Amino acid sequence: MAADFQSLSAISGMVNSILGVITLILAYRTKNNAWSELLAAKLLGCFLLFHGILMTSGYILQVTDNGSFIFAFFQTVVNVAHTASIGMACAACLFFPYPFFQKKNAEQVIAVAVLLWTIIVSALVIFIPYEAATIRYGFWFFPTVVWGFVYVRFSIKELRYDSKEARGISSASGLLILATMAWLFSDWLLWITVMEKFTTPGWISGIPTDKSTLYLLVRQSLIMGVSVGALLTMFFLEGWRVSRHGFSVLSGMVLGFFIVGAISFIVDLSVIDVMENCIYAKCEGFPDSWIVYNTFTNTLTAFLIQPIVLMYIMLNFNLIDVKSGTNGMYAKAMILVLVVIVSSTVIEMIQSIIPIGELLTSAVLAIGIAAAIGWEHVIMEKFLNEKNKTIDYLKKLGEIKPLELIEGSQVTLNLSVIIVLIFGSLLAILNGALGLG
Amino acid sequence: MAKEESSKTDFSPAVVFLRDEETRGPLMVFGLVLVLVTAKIFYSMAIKDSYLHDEVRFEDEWELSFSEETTTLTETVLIADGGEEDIEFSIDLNSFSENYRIGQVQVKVSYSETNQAIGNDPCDSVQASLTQDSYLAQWTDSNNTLNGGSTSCDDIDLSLRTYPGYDGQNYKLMAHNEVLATEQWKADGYGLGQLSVNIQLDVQQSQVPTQNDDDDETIQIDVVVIAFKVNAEKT
Repeated sequence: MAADFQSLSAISGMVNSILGVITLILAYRTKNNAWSELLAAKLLGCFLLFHGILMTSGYILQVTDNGSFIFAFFQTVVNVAHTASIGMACAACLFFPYPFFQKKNAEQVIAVAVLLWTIIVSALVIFIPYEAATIRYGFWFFPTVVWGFVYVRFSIKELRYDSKEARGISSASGLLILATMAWLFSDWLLWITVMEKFTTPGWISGIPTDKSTLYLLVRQSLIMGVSVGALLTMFFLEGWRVSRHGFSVLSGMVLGFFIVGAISFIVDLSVIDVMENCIYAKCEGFPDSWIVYNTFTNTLTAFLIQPIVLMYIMLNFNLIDVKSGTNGMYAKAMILVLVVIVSSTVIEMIQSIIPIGELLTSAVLAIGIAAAIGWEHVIMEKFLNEKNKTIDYLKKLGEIKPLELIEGSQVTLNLSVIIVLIFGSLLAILNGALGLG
Repeated sequence: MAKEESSKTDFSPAVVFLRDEETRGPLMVFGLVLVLVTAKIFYSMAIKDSYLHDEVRFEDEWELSFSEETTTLTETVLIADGGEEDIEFSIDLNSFSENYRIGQVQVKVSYSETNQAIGNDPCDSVQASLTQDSYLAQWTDSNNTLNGGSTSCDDIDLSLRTYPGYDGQNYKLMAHNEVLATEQWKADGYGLGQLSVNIQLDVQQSQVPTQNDDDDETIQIDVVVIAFKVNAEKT
């Protein structure tokens, strides 16, 4: 049954890539937004694109023989795409929802930084795979910390000083934390209580015997510490906010993760004996029921919920212009793609657990698609109705510099992405043919 | 005017962000929460029960030894000249201590010339064999002796290895824990059930006239069942 769910990775790759491409098209067609929002949209679009390439290549790796040209090729593609996507996320947090980096040459600097990061780190991962890949993954802590601070600051502004417009910024940063780190949140209670029961047999046992455990221990503590710390803070502040202003998308999601985390804790405790057997006896597989639960929480969150949240942020927080010209058409396509892929995936997942006839599921899927097309207008309206303009509030606070980007600097990010794609392809071919590292 | 314009652009957004008096306190609390949660997770993962890290990462050397217990099943049969008998022995674990498994069975077929005759009656000819059937054992093991015969009243010794690879000898191996080290010796079912021993008799009669009245023989079959329990000691 677990093998069936591997294809989720490919589906997610597709969703991410399509969303990334449409976001980039829309970002380049957007003319009137603030430069920092537009740059963030491009960076998040690139993040989705590289994340999509990473997931799709990861799936191909799972179904390819180790040692073949194709395997080595996609191994390098995964490496480069992973490095680039982390670089894009780290860069995006500096511009949205709070633009920390306000310089005329911001886009040039960030394009060069992401390019250098991708080339240097990808090369290091080939030659010192364990150390470099472990440290690289650790950089996920950076956007979480930045968005966490932004969330806290503007939540306090809203809740203690009644700045209603501050909600736009706190909501965007909270949602961005969910969009990037939510895969860790379904087990938040386990992580802060008895995580060693899972990590010792699960992660530490997998560290090569000639490598130091310290890299992984420090990295994992950092990522999980800041993620769970941010989530706990969101529990508190969103709880406070709900009592005053009622539910919002963010508070609903945070409450959802609170409940799922509590349930997951009980579910995970039921398989602790399986994990302990890995230390004191013989490792055996998890029960099917646990795998199904984990797939519907952790895997579904990582593969499908996260890109949907990112898309919601881009549409709802005005990062891309979906109103003028033919832009609306692209946005509609984006929503339809999402609704159709997500509904068909969920139906397939349900079918893999409860075997229902294919004719029946096809009919349900067709109804779902028809409903999605019919309701597309309503869904779109809902997205666009309560548009948040975070930049206006920051201008009011006097925290936005009145600056114009250097003319023509927008090309540098395009150039940087093209170079990364060429570099990745060449490195992948070289690794496939020669076996680098 | 120029100074005012300059102050609008000459600020660091990060500094402004952190120095906001309204939110400085909560930001510090948030920073503290991040540090505390990270420290707690690092403690759980890296410090608490850290002795287990080496346990799950590195293999230890284990010396395996075997304790043995034996039980003997005996049957005596009278077989007529030219006759053949299949004698069934029911083997189970009831007569052994807990956690023992059957490693080997040794069969001894013994007889003597019981016919009293003047000028000595010669020993009869006996053929014995272990019959391969549903009895779960290592029937193709090269150390087995599945059949034998005697014409001189010597004992016939047969043996059958029941548990795969069992020879009772100590040995060393690398494994993560005791369970994995001894796993090979924990399979159930081997050597349990009905063991069938086939005996054929060909009487050798006395050459002395009037003394050639030998037409059967009494044959004793002893089945020694060797059970073992594995012991593991980290070296």
